[in-house]
Amino acid sequence: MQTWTEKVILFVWCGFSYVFLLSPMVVVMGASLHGGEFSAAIKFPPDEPSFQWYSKIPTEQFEALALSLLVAAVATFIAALIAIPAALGLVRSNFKLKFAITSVFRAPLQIPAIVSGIAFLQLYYLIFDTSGLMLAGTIPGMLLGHVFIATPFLFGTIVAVLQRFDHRLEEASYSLGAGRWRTLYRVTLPTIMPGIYSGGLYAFMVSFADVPMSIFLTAPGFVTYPVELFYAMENDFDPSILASSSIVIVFCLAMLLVVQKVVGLETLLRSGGGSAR
Amino acid sequence: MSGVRLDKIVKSYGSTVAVNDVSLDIKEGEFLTLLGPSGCGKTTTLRLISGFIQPTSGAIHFGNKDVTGIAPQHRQIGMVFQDYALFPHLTVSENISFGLVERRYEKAAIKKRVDELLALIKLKEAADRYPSEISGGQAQRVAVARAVAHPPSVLLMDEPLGALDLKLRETMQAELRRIQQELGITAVYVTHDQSEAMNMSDRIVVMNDGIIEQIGSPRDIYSNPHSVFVANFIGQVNVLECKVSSKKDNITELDYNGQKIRAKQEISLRQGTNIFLAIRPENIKITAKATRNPQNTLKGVVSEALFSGNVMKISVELESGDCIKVECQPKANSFELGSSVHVNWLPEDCSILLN
Repeated sequence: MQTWTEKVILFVWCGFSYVFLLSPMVVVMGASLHGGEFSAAIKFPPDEPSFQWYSKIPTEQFEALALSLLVAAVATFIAALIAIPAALGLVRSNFKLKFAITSVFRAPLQIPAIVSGIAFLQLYYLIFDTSGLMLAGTIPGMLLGHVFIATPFLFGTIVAVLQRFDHRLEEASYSLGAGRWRTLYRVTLPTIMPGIYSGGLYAFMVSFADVPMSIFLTAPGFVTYPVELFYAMENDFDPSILASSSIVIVFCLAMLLVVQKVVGLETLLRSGGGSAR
Repeated sequence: MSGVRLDKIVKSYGSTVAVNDVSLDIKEGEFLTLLGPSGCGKTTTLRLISGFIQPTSGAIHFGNKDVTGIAPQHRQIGMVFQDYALFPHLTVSENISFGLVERRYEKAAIKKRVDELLALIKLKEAADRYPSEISGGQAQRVAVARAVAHPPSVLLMDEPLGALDLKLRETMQAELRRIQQELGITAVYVTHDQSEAMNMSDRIVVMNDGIIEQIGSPRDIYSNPHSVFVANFIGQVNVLECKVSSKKDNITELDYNGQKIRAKQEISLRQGTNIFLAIRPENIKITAKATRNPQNTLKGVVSEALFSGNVMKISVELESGDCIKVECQPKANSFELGSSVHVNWLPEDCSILLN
């Protein structure tokens, strides 16, 4: 039984954590409803609440948002195609270079994104010099960078799930007449799916929110959403930035709800990658 | 369905030999148990039959078909694992139908077979539950149903009851035996629990250190153990070191610490050879005074007496200093610690261990 003091401490601690985590978002969303005269400082709580700034969001921000969503989705997909076989192979094999290769897959986490950005840009210039092909400011160029920073997140979670994976599930599948590919499709992948989902969600968020690397790979008219916001904050701030941020916050929450509904928390718990018990 | 034959199977890992020259002939429809302590090679033998590992030398036949070197998915086996290995993302009925889908059964046939099996394992109501939502005993029955859905050549079970508590384990022993007999399937069962092996098997293979110590029916193995290892592993036993003194017809006379002991067993050993004699505690009679026909009688002192419900467990220290364990009815017998007693047994109730 919790004592009265324990309850109070728990309540205060949790309350503080929630306030700390949620208040920035509440302030942004609240201030976006500012209805009075334009002011360079944000006002919270807003006076004369209205949606006027929502209609004043520049179209570039919507274009940037579309590009960011596209890049994040495709980059996550490609990262999954790389990370799933890599994790399967590395967790189960026992060859000498195993640890070296595992570190290579995790390396992008240790490199500051700004360094990666510079490196990619230099690489693209080098490729341009030798072949005349310019990757900076193009979708493939942007994707390459995003796959680079997104892969470790998928790789890490899938490796973690695979290490808890009960090999007898695969043996059971073989004993029931399923070959290697059928077993991969019917047993291994479904069992590690929660890891793929959660890793994919991480990867998507990392790619979607990246500024330090993407900022080097943009071009005029080809800007990702966070970079666009960054420029807007720097150059000409007005509450429409808050309005567009609020839209993204709502969008992200909605996404999270949908994912939870479709994938289901129960599924995540049920098929935690282990045995039946 | 078919029998299984192992021909001089050897499996070694580097310099360690896990299974050493094992030959076995498992009859069609037989329930055979591989019994032994951990590390004796029983699980390795099972995995060799299943095809998850391949023998270093020797051959495995299912019926007339040589399956050596064939992958498990092409062997038509049914496998039941210790912790069930049910697919956590599939329901009970999807688990059972897994192999049927792989074998390209028609939809209607799959449904019919799954319903049949759910009836057989008495789990109709749990068809749509997930493995995490059923009990250990239920999961075990699902694992068996899944393994036999597409009738396998042989059903292989690796300590399938190890994770269950004692009461449930006994119920499941009977249940597994019933399912095996109803389906008439050849079964190979691995366990380290001798009572489980005794309860379920047609024949038991006792293994130790990668070799077969003895093969026989539970009764045979219990009453005529061939070696000290088998005698000790199956049930309680007293082992006395004796010398062969003479042989007459089917009676062998032995010398134990100067006392004459007779065993009803023909042996080919020469006079003077040292042997071990095994006597089960429940075959020994204990009396306060010497009996009228004192054959195989030894004198001693009660050194321990334990009451354990249905039996009285008494330890008697013999004149030789050896201790002998006796089990008797608690009603008829009450012996004080330190009182001198006589123990005796019939010549047919002891067996000479050949190694």
